[in-house]
Amino acid sequence: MSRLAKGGQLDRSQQIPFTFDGQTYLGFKGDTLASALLANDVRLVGRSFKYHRPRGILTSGSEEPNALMQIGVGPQTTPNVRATTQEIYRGLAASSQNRFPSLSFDLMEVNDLLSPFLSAGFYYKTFMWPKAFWEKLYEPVIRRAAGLGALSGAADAAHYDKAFAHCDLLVIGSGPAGLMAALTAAKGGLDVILADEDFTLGGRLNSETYEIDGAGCSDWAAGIVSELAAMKNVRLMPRTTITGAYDGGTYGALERVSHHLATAPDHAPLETFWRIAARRAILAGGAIERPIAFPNNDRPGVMMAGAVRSYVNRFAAAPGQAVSIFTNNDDGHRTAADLVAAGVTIAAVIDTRAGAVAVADYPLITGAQVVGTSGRLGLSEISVRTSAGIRKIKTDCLGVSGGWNPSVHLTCHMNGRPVWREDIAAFIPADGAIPGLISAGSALGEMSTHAALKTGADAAAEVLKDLGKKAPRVTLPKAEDAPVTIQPFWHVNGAKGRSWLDMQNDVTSKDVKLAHQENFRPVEHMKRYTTLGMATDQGKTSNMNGLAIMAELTGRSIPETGTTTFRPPYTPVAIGALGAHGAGKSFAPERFIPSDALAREKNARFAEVGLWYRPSWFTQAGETNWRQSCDREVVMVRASVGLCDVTTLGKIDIQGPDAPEFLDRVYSNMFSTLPIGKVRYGLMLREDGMVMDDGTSARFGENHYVMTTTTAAAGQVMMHLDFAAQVLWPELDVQFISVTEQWAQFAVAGPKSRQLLDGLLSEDITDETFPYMACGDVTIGKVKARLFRISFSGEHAYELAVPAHYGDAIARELDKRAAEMGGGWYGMEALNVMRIEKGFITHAEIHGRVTADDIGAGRMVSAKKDCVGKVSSQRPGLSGPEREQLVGLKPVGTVKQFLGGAHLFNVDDDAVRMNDQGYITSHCFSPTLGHTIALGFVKNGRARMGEVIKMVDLLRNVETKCEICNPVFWDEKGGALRG
Amino acid sequence: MVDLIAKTPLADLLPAAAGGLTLTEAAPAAITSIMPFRGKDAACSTALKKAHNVELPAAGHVAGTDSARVVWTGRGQFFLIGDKPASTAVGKIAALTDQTHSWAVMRLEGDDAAAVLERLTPVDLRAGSFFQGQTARTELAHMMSVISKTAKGFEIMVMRSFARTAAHHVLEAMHSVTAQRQIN
Repeated sequence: MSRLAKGGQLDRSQQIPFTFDGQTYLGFKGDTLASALLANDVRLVGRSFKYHRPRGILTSGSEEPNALMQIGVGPQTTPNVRATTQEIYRGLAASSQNRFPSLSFDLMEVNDLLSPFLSAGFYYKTFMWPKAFWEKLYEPVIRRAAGLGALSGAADAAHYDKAFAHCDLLVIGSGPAGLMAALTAAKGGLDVILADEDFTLGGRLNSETYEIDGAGCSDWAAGIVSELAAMKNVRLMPRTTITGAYDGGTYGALERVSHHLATAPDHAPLETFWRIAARRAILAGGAIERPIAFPNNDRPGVMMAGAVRSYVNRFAAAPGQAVSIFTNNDDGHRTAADLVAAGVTIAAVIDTRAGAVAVADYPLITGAQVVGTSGRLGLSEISVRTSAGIRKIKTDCLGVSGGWNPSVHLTCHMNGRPVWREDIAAFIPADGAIPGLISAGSALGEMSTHAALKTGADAAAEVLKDLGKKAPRVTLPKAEDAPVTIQPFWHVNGAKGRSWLDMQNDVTSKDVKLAHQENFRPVEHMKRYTTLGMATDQGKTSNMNGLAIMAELTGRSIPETGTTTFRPPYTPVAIGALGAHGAGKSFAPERFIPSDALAREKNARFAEVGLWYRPSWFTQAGETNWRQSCDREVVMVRASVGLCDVTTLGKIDIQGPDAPEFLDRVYSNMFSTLPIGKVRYGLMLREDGMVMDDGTSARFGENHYVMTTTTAAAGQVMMHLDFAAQVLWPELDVQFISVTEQWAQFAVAGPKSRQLLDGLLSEDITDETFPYMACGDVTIGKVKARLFRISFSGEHAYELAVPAHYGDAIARELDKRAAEMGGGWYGMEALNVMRIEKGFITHAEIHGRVTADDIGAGRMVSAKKDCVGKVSSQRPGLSGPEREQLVGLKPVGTVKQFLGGAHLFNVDDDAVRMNDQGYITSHCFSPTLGHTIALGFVKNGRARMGEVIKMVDLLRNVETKCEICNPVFWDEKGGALRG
Repeated sequence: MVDLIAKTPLADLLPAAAGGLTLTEAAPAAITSIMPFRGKDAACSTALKKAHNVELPAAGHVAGTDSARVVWTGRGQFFLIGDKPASTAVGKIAALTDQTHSWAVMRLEGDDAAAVLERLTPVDLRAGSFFQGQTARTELAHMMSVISKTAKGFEIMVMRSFARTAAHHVLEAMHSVTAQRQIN
């Protein structure tokens, strides 16, 4: 056991069992999966992506490239979880990835022996011929061998959430700079959100041992956190990674809500994706330690020095029994000193700098480099090159420090480029790269604790001033202020073996050299050629070294060489989290009709129409398919009476002194002449002259109309009216509002429709008091309703509108009355059949490419006035014999089948594009006529009545001879309508 | 005579509660939309004051009391919500429509009400930004809505047909927030 006897921020009273590759281990509350594994002496945790090399834990944070785990078993397993950020919980089941058959014996390790053939660019050059082999053979094989975790293939059943937050100041990161910034800003009266990806706020302070204001720095952090937690204007968001910076002060954030729980409470999401709108932001995201590349530096046991310190200080887990340190800067020595203090043996500290001095009691080798490692499946020895030659040192853990890179990532999300700072040999954020965001602490390259505290407080003061607030008096706590002393050192030269840069994508320094040799020299080219930094860790520990090597090879400086582009997200985000509120019931709202409950009782089958759920047909006993139900419903309507909920049609109440004029301008035909108490059918054109929508408008008063639109175009028509009123004719005094939902509206259609209404309405309805196209107020008991004598079925029909709270009641009343006279409900299918029989159009016909003339309504574009689209509709080529015109079609051969979308050809022509005569838009079996019928568009169709033509459907292989006929198949004179 | 029974949109679904949160239907006796005709805003306000003792509020605001309040609902558009429909006197200078049956009206109350709504709407709900007397016409889980701040929480209005979906989402968020309060 490598668990230290004391120390660490662990709750040792809570021992937590978990499994890794089937073996049970024990950890403590406060452990990450990585720290618990290290405490249990597990060093080998994965196999590398390409070469299947054994890999161990490298870091202690979200930058981890190696320790990626599959968490959970069964269909809801999560791949590629970083063991360094995953908290352990009772029953956690983790497995290693990308190994076969087992982690310690991986057959795919043979790839490592083939490495000379698998270097950068290899695939492109080798697997080119024959071309077809790439997709069928090479790629699948390579993909199988190279990879990370696996998805189960089952849909992700986890519950994800999405939310919005707003604040004056978003503080990203809760280390010394972040805490100080949040505290200062909060005391100054700002609404502050403090977000950190860790589950314990405090950032690096939780991993260090120095003092702040005389207290241990982690205790100081905990104190500030509780102070912040008690403030009403502060919102603490632990386990929340700010993933991206976007326009307008908006930040993406991923909150891991219940990944750390054995059983989450019901209804709690797994993750929440936040959009945080912040007036200002302070980036205090800290810095990431960078490695030094040297041969076989990927052996389990080789870690970042700062991570070794974290494991010892925060998690009381010694990553080795005899630890060595390889460093080019003072921070490596801090690790050594902390380990000594914790009682961990230091085998040696190897410093590349000749003048380095030990800060505690440990063996120090200066001016030296680690040039090799050995040990199967884990480090046992390192080779050190000193002025006196190669020295072998027994060690089971090597902490490496090449310096610290400020986390500039977020500042580059809007195309900002980081700036090189020579004294710390690292890039820092460019000023103003994200509007409203300033950086502080080590994210800004201010590496000492004192500097972090100070820049944090200063940044908050700047924000306060900027937002017109007074900065409070905040005393800066006392803390260490060590300068950064570093001698840049990126990789070891002149030693045998591969030096790994990107451990997750298996990229070595040699690959960078190859990229250089092949002239892929700009960093962006190098990245794509070598895949450096393209894995799930996005090269957080490797990019810098890669570009430093390229700089060396090209002879340019590092700032001249530049960085690749940092893009969101900062760390991986599950698609499920991004898609929260976009799946299942959340995909789209459901709109239900007032008679929904009754329709369900009557076995309605529903169709989605826009967001509405409308009955398609009502299945009765003995009916086994929709056609039986549909045919019965059509016959029922034509013989007695049918009911249909038509609430979904858009209803727009239009009022004002200029309402008549307004309608004249938006409709192609005249509405100012419509008598009060009458309804008129109207056609609306788009600006380009094509038909936009049709419907009826009823006039209830001198300056009061109610317009109806189709269900599908209700929103579009409302927008069109708004545009016309606000932009085209702001001088018109007209007001309108949707009343679609106010009225539950029912079609009552069929020869017995009036009989059904008789006695229901207080008013006497006759052909005289209520002729075809009449409208008016009626009463049902105490309820005021509206009646329209209009018909979409061709029958003597009414539409009855009652205030929607009475919708269910009136539906049941109508149902009772209809049943008594052999009638009942009909659905969308029957409605469609009846309107095709009558030659009435829907959006199947007015699909956006037809003019009024095309549908035989040319005369509805009034000559007496102007309207939207009129001028455009008069352009040459938009009316006349060259156009495809609306016609009816009936079968004349043995094949009777029509198919929507099928094209029409002259009987003797080949069915090829050049001979196209038109197409079918709607078709059905007409129970009224006893055969199939169709509507369609045929070139010069109105002049070709009686001509025989053929429908050819090449996709479904159907050819039907048919006769062009009047689109009105039934009751051409409209006798039924008028009663 | 036929006696039709009225049923409000959320009658079957609410009230409901989760943790310290409650969601109830507030079915107002009358909702009238008021859209003043050209140049009649001031006259309309005066007429309203006389008939209902409430004036037209500024954009994004609510005026009046529960028995007669006017909610701004869009450009040149207001809803008079309360015990009575708008007086015909107002109808002479403004377009009026009855909207009583058009809307499902919910009250979300409890200390965590804002934490629930922030999962459903992008509106800034912080106490200092959205206080009693303010309203927003905004998105609520892909639906258009009218959200107003009340003394104990929020009033949420969606079009009637969306009632079931809206109640489902608000309830789901109430349960989610309640569940998350149990997590450390």
